[in-house]
Amino acid sequence: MAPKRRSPRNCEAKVSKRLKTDPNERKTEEKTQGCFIAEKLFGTDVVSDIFSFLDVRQLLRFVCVSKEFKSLLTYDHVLRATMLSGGFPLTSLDRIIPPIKNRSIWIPSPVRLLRMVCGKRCEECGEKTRFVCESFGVFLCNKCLEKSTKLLRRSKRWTPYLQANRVCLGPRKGSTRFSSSYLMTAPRKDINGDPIGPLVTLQDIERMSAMTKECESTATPAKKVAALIHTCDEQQPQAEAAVQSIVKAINDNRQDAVDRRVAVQEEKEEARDRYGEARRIKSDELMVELIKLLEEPDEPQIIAQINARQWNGRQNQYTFNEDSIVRKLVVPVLRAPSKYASKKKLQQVADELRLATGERRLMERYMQQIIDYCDHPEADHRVLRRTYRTYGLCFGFSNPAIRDILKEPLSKPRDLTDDDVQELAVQVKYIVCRKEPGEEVVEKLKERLKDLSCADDLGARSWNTWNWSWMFKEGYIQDILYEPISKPHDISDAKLDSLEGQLRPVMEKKKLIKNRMELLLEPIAEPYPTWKTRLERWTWNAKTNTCTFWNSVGKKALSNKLQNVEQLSDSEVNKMSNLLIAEIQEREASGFRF
Amino acid sequence: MADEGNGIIRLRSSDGKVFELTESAAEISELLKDSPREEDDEVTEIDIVRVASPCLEKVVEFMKHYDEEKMKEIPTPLGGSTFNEVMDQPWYQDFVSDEKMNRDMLFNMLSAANFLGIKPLLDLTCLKVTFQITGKNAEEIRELLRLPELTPEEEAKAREEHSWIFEEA
Repeated sequence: MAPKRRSPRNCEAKVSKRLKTDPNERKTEEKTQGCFIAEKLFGTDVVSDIFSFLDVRQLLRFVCVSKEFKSLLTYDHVLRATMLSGGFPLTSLDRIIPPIKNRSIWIPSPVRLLRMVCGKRCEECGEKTRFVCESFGVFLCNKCLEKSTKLLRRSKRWTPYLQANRVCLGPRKGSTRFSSSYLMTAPRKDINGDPIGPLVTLQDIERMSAMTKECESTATPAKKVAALIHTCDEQQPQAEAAVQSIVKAINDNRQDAVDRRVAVQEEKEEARDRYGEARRIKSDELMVELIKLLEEPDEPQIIAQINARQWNGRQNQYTFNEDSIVRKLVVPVLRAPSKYASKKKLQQVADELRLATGERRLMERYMQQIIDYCDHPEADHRVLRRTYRTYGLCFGFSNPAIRDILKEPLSKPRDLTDDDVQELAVQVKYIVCRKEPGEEVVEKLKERLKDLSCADDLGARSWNTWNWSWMFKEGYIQDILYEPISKPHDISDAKLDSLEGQLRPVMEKKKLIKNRMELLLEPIAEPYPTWKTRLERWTWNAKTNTCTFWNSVGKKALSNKLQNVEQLSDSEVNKMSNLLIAEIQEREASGFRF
Repeated sequence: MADEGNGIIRLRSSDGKVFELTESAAEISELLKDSPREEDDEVTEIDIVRVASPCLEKVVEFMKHYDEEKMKEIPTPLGGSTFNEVMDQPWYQDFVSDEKMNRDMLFNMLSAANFLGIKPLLDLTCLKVTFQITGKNAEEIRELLRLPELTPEEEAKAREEHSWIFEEA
């Protein structure tokens, strides 16, 4: 039986309206080389299918290729792609949705919405920027935003307008920690002339406010704003439907977006674990090779340290508990095993390990020689306190004087001879044994200056075990004596005379100042004995010749007035006492009690 | 009357070539499924005037294979970053591979799938096109789709309009 031939009648309905239906026209076109492939896609479900497969940034590139593609883009395409992609586009979307839902901005078209979530450059100046400005629904950089917005201080005049519904107020920058009372200064339009950004701008508010003044209009600000917004709404009749489809698209895709994020996270973790395991296996293989290279001649300590490495599953890498040369030189190999996979590179690492370990042993030996030479009970633990620094593969010393002597030579121990070490030991011993000679010098000075009451200030000193030197409580003595006393062996009688010559005038001056300060505090003694005790604590800065009270009352009453105190007359001192008393009275009147 | 699904359907291409397939294989096509036929006919012939024979041959090949091995639904978002990662069935990978299907044929297939209402084939070809587009800039996409080249004025306007898409300032 002959088959019946039928033409599918509903074919035409399935074909895009944009497809050329005239057979002659079609034939001519098909003959043409490079026929317009894209036409086969327009107006069909095909484009929608492709949109749904594309990543959000790729979607933007694809859509911008042709006007037809743009016309086929829907909010659902944009929101789904954005919500599934995450990252900056999603952050931008989260920022743009609130003003859209609130309808305080002109509702963007799907293409503009896509542009805003994917944008990389400012709409105004083209400078690179990251996020859409959440308050105004525009993609501006901070500079342009500053130019386009103005802070409107709340006042009787402006507040009624600012409080009106759907007035777009916001922070100037992309963060809510900035003041949120900025307004867009003027209405904006995109390149096609369509309005964008906030519905109500500063210009509108100023115009409405001026109208009220001039025309004595009875309409309230809220009504005026409502009228303006009503006009805007009339210009975009599809806005409500657009907002609804945006909200629907968000709700429809929310679960998928969450699932996607979870899946991506799981995928990342799996990939990380796979990568970690591969790295672990490779690292282990390399360590076996490295240990082989270190076996001849045998380096048991290094090998033991390499074997003591521990796998950290959270960080997916090997770690060492001790900060050592092995850690310093082997960790890079463990972190990037492929980089060290060649035998040559591994040999280099083994050589560096041997060299650094050998140098460290040499350093330790020399240090022991120096410690033995010093023959001081506290030399090793106090003065020569040190740590081995893997950063520079050398010793770091806590004492600055010792650091100056030993750091440089010990960082190249192979260059040192026994004579060099002996010379270093002599220098170190000079530092180590400077406590007692220094004390003798101070005592001698004290004896020479005993005619001055301030000589007792020399006794106010302590031995600093960190610097391994004498420290004086009084700043003026510290300034004069600290340097010479750190080299007490060099102080001859002549030097002692010179130091006495420096100290005597200063101490005499201090004596005068002390007298004046006692005079200053005398009137306080009887009515306010506790305050006097507090105010007796003051310090003298010899360089600026200024006295400063420790107590806040003294500081407040006589700030900047206690300069050149030794030159103050009795009446001036009396005035100052009165100032102090007034301040004390004020403080007590405010309820202050000790 | 032919048993349900056992009848034969003959598809005649625009250039007159005829391809046969079973009714069950043709079920996948919305167009063929809905096309009217006589109850007592064992063989039904349908003119597919919009599809040329090389393309229709491939479409029929797809329909026949689909009848034997169903294509898995393509999930969105795509579960991979390459075509082969997303489409893990070797036959379907091979069917639209670059070696077996040039760009013109791919777009013809896409058009035919849309015309015949064959959703799996439409998804497969769309997926292939998607991966061809992915990673390409606007100019490359335009070239791929053979969109007419822009005049300098049009290009300047497009650049001004879409300056934010371009990486370079």
